[in-house]
Amino acid sequence: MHDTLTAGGRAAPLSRRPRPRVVLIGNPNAGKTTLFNRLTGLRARTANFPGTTVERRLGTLPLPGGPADLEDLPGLYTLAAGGLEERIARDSLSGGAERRPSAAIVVLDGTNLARNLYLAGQARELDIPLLVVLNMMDLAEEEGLRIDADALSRELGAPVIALSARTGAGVEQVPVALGRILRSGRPLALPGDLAACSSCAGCGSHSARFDWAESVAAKVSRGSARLSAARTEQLDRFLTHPVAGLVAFAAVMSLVFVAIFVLAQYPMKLVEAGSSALGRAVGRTLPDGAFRSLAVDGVIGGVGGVLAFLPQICILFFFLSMLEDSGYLARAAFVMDRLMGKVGLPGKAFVPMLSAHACAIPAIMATRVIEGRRDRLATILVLPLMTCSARLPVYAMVTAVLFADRPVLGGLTFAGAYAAGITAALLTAWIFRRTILRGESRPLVLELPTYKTPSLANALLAMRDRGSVFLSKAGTVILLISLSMWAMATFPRMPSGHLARVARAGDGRTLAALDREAAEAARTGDAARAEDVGARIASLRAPYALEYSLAGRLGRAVEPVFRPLGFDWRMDVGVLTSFAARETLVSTLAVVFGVGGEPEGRTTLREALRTERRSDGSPLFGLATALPLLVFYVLAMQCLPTQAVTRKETGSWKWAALQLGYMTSLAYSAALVMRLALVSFGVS
Amino acid sequence: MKMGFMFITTGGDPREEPFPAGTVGEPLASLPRGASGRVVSVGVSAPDRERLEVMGLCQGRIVQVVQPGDPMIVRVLGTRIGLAGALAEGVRVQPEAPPPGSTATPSTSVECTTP
Repeated sequence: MHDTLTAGGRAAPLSRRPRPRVVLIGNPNAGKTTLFNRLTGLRARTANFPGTTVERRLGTLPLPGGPADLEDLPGLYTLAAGGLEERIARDSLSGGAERRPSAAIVVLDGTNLARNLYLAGQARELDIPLLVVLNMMDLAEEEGLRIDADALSRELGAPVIALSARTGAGVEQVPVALGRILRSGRPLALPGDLAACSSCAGCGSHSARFDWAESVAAKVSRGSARLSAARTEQLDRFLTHPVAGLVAFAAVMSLVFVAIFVLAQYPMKLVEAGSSALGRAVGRTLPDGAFRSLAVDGVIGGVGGVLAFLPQICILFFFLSMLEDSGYLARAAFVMDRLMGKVGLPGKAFVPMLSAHACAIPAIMATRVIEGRRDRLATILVLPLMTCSARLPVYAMVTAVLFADRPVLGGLTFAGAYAAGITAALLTAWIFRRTILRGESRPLVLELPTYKTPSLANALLAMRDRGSVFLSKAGTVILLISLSMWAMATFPRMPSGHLARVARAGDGRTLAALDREAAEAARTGDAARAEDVGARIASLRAPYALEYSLAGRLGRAVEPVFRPLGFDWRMDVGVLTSFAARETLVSTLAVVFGVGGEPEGRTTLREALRTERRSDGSPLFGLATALPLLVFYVLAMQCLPTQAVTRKETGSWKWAALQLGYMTSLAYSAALVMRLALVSFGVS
Repeated sequence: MKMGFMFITTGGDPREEPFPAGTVGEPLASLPRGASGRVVSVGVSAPDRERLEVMGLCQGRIVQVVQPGDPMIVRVLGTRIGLAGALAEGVRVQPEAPPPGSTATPSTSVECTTP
């Protein structure tokens, strides 16, 4: 038995042998990602390390002797520290979790050799063949900095290649050298100095290794990167200045913000137009009934809803990648650190907070850059208070109804809603840091890299990666939720004779007239008129069907809960159906007020809401109802996909539940206070 | 060296460990722009100490103040590091002449870091 197995193993063809696994390590800002993109081209994908939320990029690296799997590890300063990323890197290098790597590529920033050699020294002590890449040689050359690659190779006992990942010069040597290393299969002997360094572990190992790194750097290089350092310091005098730096920060962020909204509106309109056109086309081919409704409203509407957010997310990450590559993002964290520290958040939390103005989901994912767990939890908890783009349709509806002919007041209401979201987030963060997440934020320790021209290719690849992560992680959840919301608003279906019995007097008469018209159209064979009449009957039916459905019944049931806020049962149906996705409030209200499905739905909804009266004759949607509704939507969670991502990122439903609980109570109480204040001032 | 810093123990901030008696040097936070010094001790909590060590801010290394303030910018091992004032307060340095180049000359007489 054993013999057969061994024989079989030996006879296995070469192609069946597992591909060699090569890992890429290096300091943050050493140009690791740029090199990875150069080596793997567009064939990379993003995945998580098993059992963690730490991401890694995997790609295929073509080598002379057949392709290898290339894996990009997180950027590290050391392999020895106790952080999650260091632990993952150690596991990955030792093969603890998976296959042991066949070789490792260490990327060194040639303009910053002493610091980068520290990690290289540690990597060299692992029992893995090493290829050392001296990156940024184009910048070194510009500055007249010369590095003797052969001497470095002798010091490290590993082959060294000088290249520039940014320009691509010299990158072609990597597969050749790597192929040679993989064929020989074992690391070279450790040079004496390095061996002495590692034996010093425990007692001053940091110092000894830093000494070794500095002495090697001094030995192999001539000159220094003074020019770029001087340029960087000049810029930093302004960009990290306590006052001017904040002004610059505000300017950069506003620019990014405006760019996101201006650039994203075109693809968003395209997605919306595309999904509604597709919906109409599919609606025409399918017979009327539950299946058509599922296909058009459930699936196509749901997919369209997911895709509508994609442009903003892609553009956001494009700009963030450019800012990070240029070196500015670290300065932004630096100038924000003291301000954010006042509410107990680290400076790095500003990136997620900016992202949350597009969508809370990528923002919560972006909190991974925050080191301290409590810092990260506090940030995640308050992120959904920022005004994400899904709130905009709700804000637009409320301001359109209240201030249709007073654009200044409308604009102020919008700005007030944004400010309320930010203020609420900072205040709740401050409260969390004094209660359940007690303690101050981790004090800042952050490398401020030399300013560089950002790479467009990196930004485009980051955009693609982030976009596909959003689609795969959030897209499926959003689709699932929109399907269940569709089911709630559709079932149980209203029996055919039901409408005639329950229709309000006016609607009843209209319905009878429409029925006569439909019969007339059928008799004369006027297809266009029949279709038109059918659509009018459907839109008349829709509010009653919704009232009959589970969502409608729940709306009636919770009426007492929301009555103190001034909402009537129809608004409650909107609140309930938008529990999972707040933007659906507008479309639900359109249906429930009987104006859904019409092309001019938005204007007619505005008219319907303005003219709608309560049973006592007072206007339904006056200031004293609309403003509490607005306040409620500024502060309420109303987004189940965000909750799912919170659970994933924090590892527990507990935090998602806390988020839902505190935001809903905050929204309800603030709306109630708003309502009581307005009513006590005699506003209706 | 100022004698006033000889026996400082820090109270109030729970993050900082009290310095052992006989701590010498000045707090990094009090150095002016452009001044350099060799780190003699790092009196911060263990996790923060590790974060500083990783960046090269540990006993025996030369640091230079690029921009004072809170947070401040220092240069260690050729890189600029942004550093919170609370941490810079805990790092004690022995003032020295600035290093000639961006890479400081390594010292051979560095004592072992305290375990």
